[in-house]
Amino acid sequence: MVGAFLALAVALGGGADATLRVKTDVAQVAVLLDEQEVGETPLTRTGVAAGRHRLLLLKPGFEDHAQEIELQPGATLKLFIVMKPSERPLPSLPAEFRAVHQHRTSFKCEGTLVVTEAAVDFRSDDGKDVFHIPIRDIRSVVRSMGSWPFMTGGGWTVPGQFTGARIEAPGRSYGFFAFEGELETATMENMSRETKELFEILYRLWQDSKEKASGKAKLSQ
Amino acid sequence: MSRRSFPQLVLAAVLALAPAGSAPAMPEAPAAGPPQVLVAVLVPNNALVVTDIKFRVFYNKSEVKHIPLQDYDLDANLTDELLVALSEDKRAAWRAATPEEEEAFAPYFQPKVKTEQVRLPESIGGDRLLLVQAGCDGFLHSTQKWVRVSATARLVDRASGRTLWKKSVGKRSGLPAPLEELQLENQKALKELLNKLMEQMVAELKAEAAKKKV
Repeated sequence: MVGAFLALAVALGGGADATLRVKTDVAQVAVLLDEQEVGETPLTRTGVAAGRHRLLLLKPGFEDHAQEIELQPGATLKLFIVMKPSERPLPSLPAEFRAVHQHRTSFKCEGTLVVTEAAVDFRSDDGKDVFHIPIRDIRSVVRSMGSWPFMTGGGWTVPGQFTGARIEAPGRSYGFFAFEGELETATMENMSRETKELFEILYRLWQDSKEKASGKAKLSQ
Repeated sequence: MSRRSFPQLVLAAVLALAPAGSAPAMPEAPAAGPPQVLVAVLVPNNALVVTDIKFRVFYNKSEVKHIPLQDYDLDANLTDELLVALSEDKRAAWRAATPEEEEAFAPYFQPKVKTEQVRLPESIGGDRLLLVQAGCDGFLHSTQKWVRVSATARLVDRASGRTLWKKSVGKRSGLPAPLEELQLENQKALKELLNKLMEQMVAELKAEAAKKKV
């Protein structure tokens, strides 16, 4: 009876966990596993489900590092990543982006996104989609990886590794990707670069907001 | 055995065992946990110090190059590597020293200072201190080219300040490519090589520490 119970526990995943160890040359790089922040480098995480995962490493001032990893049951995967310094400085605030707001349906909601130290404001070109998100209300800022539902309907082809910026606020969630120039002529490199820049700004503001909330605010540089 | 004697025997057995079973337990001394070891790492020079010896016709030219390891936090990486490795040694509870504690440990890393002479503030906890001083160096010569990661570890008793043991370890590797090439792409290949050597060195230090008392 006990043996059967143990066998069942193992079969359900009790013995199928793996360990992930991530180190980077520069310390305190945010580690996101399957779009969830799990800590900062150097990081050792046990009890990760075996199988394929998406790893994303983020650090302001550095290019993000995205990688597909495969964890074997009971094994430890050790990674040492050398982060690449970002050559392009982030724009100062307020920053204005041409962006597309992600909708579940297939239409393109194109507009202007303005990021200030206090809030994120979006206004679509047709004026039908307008919203204001105070930075202090943001619960998380993540990279949304994979294909975009609205784009598949519109006939766009988006590689799986293309990432958008997603803001989680109470009761709301907003996905964006930014571009430079005209959307119809924007290249994938153009959109990836602009979206990453938007994400880095939002991520930094969110981190600062969290620090302020926990009473650990540092003087702005 | 008669019928009458059986209950008596049972009663006698119960009475005989009762005092032993119900005797008040002796008060035990509080279980002393494993000693707590604070791990502090000092990397005085976050650079690869390379001695380059070049042959000339009538003389040898030697120069020392300091190659800064850009964005490579050796201190944080080595501390983490040590803690992960040493945490498998259950004879002690290992933890990284806080920045305040590391500041208090600074005198230990000064040359010609005896550990017994250092007086730590009362606020510093721990039973032992594992003080590790590490660095990277290299050697370039026409006959051999290598880089090395080395460290000197000392285990100090917190109460007496006595050095319990001291061990120097190091791992070196030949250069898989010219040093200039290893430094391409934010010194990617060089950092990967140093990380590999650091892991090997920590494994050696772990094995050495396991042979010694904590």
